[in-house]
Amino acid sequence: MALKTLVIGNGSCAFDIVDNLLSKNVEVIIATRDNSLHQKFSEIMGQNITEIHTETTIHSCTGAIGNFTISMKNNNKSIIRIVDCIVIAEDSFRKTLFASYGLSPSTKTISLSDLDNPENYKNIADENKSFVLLKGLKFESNPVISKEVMDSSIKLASHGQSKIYILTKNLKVAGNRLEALYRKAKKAGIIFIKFTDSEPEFFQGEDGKTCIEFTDEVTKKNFSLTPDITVVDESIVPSDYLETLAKTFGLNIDCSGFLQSDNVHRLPAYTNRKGIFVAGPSRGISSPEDYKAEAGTAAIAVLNNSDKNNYDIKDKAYINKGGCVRCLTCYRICPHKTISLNSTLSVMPEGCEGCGLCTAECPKNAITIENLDHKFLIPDDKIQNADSASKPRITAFCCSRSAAEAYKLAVSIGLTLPEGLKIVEVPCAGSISLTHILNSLKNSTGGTIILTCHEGNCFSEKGNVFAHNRAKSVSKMISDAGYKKERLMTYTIASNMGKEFSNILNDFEKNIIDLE
Amino acid sequence: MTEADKRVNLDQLDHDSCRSWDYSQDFCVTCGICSSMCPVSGIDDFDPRKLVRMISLGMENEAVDSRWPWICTMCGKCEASCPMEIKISSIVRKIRSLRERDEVPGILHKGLETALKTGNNLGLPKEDFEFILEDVAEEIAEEPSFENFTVEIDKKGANILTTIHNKLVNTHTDDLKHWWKIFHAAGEDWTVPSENWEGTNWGLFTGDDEAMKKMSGRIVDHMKNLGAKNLLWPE
Repeated sequence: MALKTLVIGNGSCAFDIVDNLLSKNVEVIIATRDNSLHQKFSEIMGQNITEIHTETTIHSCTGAIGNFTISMKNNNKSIIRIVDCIVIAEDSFRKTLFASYGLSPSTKTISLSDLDNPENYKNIADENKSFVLLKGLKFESNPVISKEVMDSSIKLASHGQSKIYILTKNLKVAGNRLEALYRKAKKAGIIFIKFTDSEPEFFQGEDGKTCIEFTDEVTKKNFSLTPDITVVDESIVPSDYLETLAKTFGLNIDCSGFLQSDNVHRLPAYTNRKGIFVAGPSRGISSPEDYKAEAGTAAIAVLNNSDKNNYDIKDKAYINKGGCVRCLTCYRICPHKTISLNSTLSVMPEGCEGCGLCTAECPKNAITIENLDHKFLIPDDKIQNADSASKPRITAFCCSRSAAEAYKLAVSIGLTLPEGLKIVEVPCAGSISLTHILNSLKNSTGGTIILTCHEGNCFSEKGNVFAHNRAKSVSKMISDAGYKKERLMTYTIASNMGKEFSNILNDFEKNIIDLE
Repeated sequence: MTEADKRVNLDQLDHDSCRSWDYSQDFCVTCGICSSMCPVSGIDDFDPRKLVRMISLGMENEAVDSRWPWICTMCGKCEASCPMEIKISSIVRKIRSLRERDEVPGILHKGLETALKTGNNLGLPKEDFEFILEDVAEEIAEEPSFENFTVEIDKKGANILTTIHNKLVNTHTDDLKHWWKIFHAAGEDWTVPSENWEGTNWGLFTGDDEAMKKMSGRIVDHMKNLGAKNLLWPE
């Protein structure tokens, strides 16, 4: 299958992705809001398979992986294209932080980009003696800025400057090669003043010079510094376009506004939607080298979809047209945005991850996934009880990505588990419906336990939260009805926690026996 | 004086002043592991991290004038735990060495001065020293199976020459007996010098390399002059 991919972006990272894809004969469409393409693209202009749309925004997107219909706007002209995959790699931006320090830019108080500007650099380095570089004191910084601040300082030191100070909060030397760079900076004679519990105070004189007063946190001595040049750090912020793109494509964003939620399952290039990938400066803050690597992983992610078997799953959700009342609950909650809105609602099967959040939440029980039916999952208790009549029957709903794996681990290393344990593996804890829980309570002589992924670690983003909330409401329901609420418990667990799995289940069994 | 008056203009300090020192204090990451290991952290607000920091900022004058380097016991736990391998006790010793000798704290200064002048930290005269050693030997000889015990001072060509810690001829004379008895039982050929017998070398603690050299040199001389084969220096 020849892949057709839309790449949104116009920077080095977008170029690297396009270059990678073209080398694998992927048909690429580039769409950018900018008037012209980044000059790097001229290298590949000759290759006629590339379709380029400048001054173009994305208007809407329907369909799923393998068949996205993209409507784009170029001035007032509408462009419709059908693509298999989409990659977003819009450049991020630099924001100066003068205001957060209460400083104004001047010839003596400059930004990090001003210092690094080759046109000014020589003059600045020649004409001034002492430098203070501020880093992350007012705004949480990152390793990329750390590297630039240290690189610039070392450059100044090699220019013959002897009074160079870096005033910093967490330096973030855990970044690639940064500890070595820190050593190099120390060796070059740069003085680091680190602030953890306090902040320096800044005063700017009429000459534009900044005076800094602080207490050194190690020696507790009070110091002042009035350097010839104060260099204010910058923050790296996502393109303002990402917010629009997130809405258009139904993508989750992280706390800084980048297009990949803080979820380990999305690494390295994935989003909550199958077939839509994100890389480089649209994904987060990394070094240019890392962006290049991310461009490669994004291209690989695209290429993995050349075979439908690589992304198609077996058990997909299906909306029973007779039962659907178009309440749009499924449309709202589907974490993979794969419910299509037409005259009737339907699941776009290619995009479905089979998590079952919709089946559990549908108020009309109109959505089904084969093998997730409660009658299939929870057989009648009477038959089960014949085997272990003396022990309480415990039903454990286990998310397939965490608890079910922890269960297998516990079994494989020979840990003790309750005799009357019945494991019910579900694709995601979010698929455990009220009917599942109530049926389990009805059919179990002992209790029901729900084991989910840790919060923030759910492949369906919030399936685990749904499961806990649902269990909480059932808990209240059953205790109002005079049933012991201890018979229904919830826990979070990870796939490598076999020992904990065994402990939780054995404690649960003990508590159930104590109840009787 | 207000807080603001006490504020030091940081770029007036010479940050390079200690850079030629033979230690890598430049690489301190101010993690504070040294401070948490240090048994005397907190006394007079001392902690090793502060001292290292002062040195790397170029505040060695203040460090030399302060009590901190003298609070340190030079146990070395700080540098054993330092992830950046900073030789903290060497830094402490370097700072101590920079103090005017008559400003070195009393007992250390006095002990070392006395040792340099008289051969031992106590200023114990030769005849008193010999009297004490012989007295201890007589006490041993009163014990069963040690009847013919004697101490041979300044014996030439002995197999072992041993130095004496000053407290062993002052408050802890009984502690001499244990190992002398072992010598006797083992049939060891041993001796003690009558002068310059001091085993301790307080130049180590005051950062005084010259004094250390002189004290060690005296022992080297004994070995040569008495022709002893082995040295026992139980410090």
